[in-house]
Amino acid sequence: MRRLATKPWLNLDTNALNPIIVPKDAALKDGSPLSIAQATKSSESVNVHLLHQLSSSADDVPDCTPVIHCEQNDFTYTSIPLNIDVVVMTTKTTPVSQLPRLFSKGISNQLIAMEDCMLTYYQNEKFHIPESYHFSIPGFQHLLNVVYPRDKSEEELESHRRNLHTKLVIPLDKPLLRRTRRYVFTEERNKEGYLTNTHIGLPQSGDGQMYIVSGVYSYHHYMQDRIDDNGWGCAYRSLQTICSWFRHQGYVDRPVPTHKEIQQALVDVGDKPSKFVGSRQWIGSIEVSTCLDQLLGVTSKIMFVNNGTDLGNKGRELAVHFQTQGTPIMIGGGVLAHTILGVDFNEVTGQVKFLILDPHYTGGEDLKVIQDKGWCGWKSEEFWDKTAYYNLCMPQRPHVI
Amino acid sequence: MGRSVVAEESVQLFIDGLFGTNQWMIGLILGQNSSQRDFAIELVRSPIDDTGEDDEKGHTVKKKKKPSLDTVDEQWTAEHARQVSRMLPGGISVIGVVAMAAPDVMTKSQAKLRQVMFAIHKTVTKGDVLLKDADVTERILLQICSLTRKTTCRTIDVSDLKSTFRPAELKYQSFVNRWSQLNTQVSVNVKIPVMKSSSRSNFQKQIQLGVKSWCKSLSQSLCLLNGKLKKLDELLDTTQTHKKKGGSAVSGSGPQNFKVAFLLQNNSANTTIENKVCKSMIILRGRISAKCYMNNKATVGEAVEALKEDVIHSLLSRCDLLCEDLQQTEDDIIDINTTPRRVYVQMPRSQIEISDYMFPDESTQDCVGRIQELLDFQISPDELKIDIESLPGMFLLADLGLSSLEASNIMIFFGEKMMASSTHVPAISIVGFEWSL
Repeated sequence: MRRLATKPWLNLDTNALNPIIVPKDAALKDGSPLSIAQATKSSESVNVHLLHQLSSSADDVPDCTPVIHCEQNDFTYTSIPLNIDVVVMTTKTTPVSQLPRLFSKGISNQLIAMEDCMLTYYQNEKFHIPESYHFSIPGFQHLLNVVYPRDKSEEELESHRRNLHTKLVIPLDKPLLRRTRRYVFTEERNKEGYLTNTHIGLPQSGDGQMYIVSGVYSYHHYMQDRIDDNGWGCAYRSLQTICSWFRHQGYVDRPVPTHKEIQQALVDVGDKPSKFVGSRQWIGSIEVSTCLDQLLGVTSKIMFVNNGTDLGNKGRELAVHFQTQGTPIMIGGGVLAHTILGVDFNEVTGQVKFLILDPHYTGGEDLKVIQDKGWCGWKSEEFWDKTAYYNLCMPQRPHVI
Repeated sequence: MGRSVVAEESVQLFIDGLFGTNQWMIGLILGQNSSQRDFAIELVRSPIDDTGEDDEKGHTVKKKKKPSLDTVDEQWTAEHARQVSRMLPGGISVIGVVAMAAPDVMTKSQAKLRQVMFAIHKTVTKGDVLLKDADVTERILLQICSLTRKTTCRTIDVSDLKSTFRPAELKYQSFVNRWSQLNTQVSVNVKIPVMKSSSRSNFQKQIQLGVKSWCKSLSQSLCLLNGKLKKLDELLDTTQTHKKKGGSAVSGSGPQNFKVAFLLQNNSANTTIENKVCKSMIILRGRISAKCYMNNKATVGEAVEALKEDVIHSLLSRCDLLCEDLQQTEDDIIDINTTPRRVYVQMPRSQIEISDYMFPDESTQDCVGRIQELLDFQISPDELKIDIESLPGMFLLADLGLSSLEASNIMIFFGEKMMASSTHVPAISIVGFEWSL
């Protein structure tokens, strides 16, 4: 996301093939700057079609009436679809006429990568279709492109990824290049209907240092997915937000679990009787941690806090969690469950503020309402119930690639 | 109200010339249908079926009756229309039938003329690759009384067997030399792997099938007119609108010429790997020229459609002609076959250029003969434009002879340029990757 702060830049995306390039916005003239296409749209990317010029004097087709050449020979004919998907970065003032030059390099690189991929994974006379994925890696100002063979599991591709991580000098304990973590362009986003990273755009937290969740999560709250869980489902929703984080970050492939799946998981581990499935019973931090383990293979630390006032003393510990783990925290106390997305911790005064995502929200997916009414917002320690004790479920990142 | 038919003034002269020299005739009306009106550009007399009927000993016996309009063989005329259609540029087609006879014969021939019109439609549209929507299926019947010199113009919907003739208004104007012309050159590069399971005899079918999928992608391609992308509902001839704005209605502008480039879009729905056990590979490569003519009310979309039809029509015609030729000579399918090239010649009474297909072993005289027989006009061999397309040079043929199937390297073609070749893959011979265009 931070990558997009480089506003004068545009990503040009293509998912077709061929040597001529026409922006989807056909009104663009050769000399006009690309930013014209952006006047009414988001400024992130311009989609581009690649077209194959049929009327040029291509030197490889003989310039004569068609010749039919028939060769008799036994062979196996294999046709492999290659979906070319190339992104180039350019300034907004770049004239359209510059694009072919920029793209042809990108496309030939991708073709070479695809060829490489096909040959590497060719086995038992079977090919794998090479597929192009874009990744946004923290610290990189541009997108990275990786070609992976289709129909190979993430486990089978681990050494491939390890190799890439080493070459790119990126951490060897984060799944930054898994296919589930692929970069999704703005227009393809929010297909699932959930808002993501709802804290972006909130006013200044306080005077301390901010420590917040790293990466992307989606906001799960009451009444979503046509499930009326008003009054009992807050911990389920908080768990869903955590699961979405692991999915967005590429750790897991599985979709965010439903209430039923969460209940079934607790029955499966023997934590609850079978009649628990389909009930409207609450769950707490311990159940959330059990589910994370059962469904995602993620372990969690549990922090016990005697009462709400005491939470004010946990600033440093929480800051360390967001620094090292960066995962959303589920907190349960009294009858309420919340998600902590970050803390603002002042080293000098010891004062702490909490970035809270509230699953009790029953309205629609309207970011303005959510932020203005504080369903996602910074809270002081008065937010917590002074008499209730709290359990915090702090998911730990697995060390995987 | 019936349709209105606008005939080129030279058509009138042609009709005038018929009187006295002919007792009767049947022929084709060449022109352009549009949603508002039909444009008749040229009348072409059908040759008289003088093949006679062969008796059992193989001698041709004289027909019992003198040929006359009511005994015309509709299949003969339909075949004439098919061969003439092959020679027409895009935008121009057989839009009707002209018949001349004495009043009594004409009355007798009504049912026959109807049969002829339906037979022509059936024959000409056979094998159409593109399904055209909103195509005009009204065809013109122009009857000329040899006695009173009176002309009657009617139309009939040939797509509906139950339809009946409706009167149409005919008027003469001079228009065709102001029509716009679109020209293009298209590279064709089609690889057709022939499955082991398919039978040897359907070489023609294999080519047709392979070419058809190419045609389909062409029909979905984008077009640049003189290097510009235009809206499909825009008028092709923009000088018309300018004139209106200027307020003067003088028709002084010359015909507009457009050079068209086709841009193929990726429309492949294929997302899986396909494996075929094959016994041969047919590769069709070369460049073909195409052109079409459009009336000055036509839109860009209609013009582009007509040009695409001409490209496809021309490619299929060449393949058919080649296959017919191979069958006739009973030659075995040899390694390399050159399709006939397209040659053009201007029609005597208009700027429209018609074309013929000339095999490498044919002379211009062969074309002159065919044009005279089918289109009923005389040209001299040097009027033929034979240099629009060229024949493959000897070195190219030698080049193609190199067995591409022996290559056991993976070759990656991009566009058709080889991008990279690399390591040997054992146990399987790969001839190239088909890009999903």
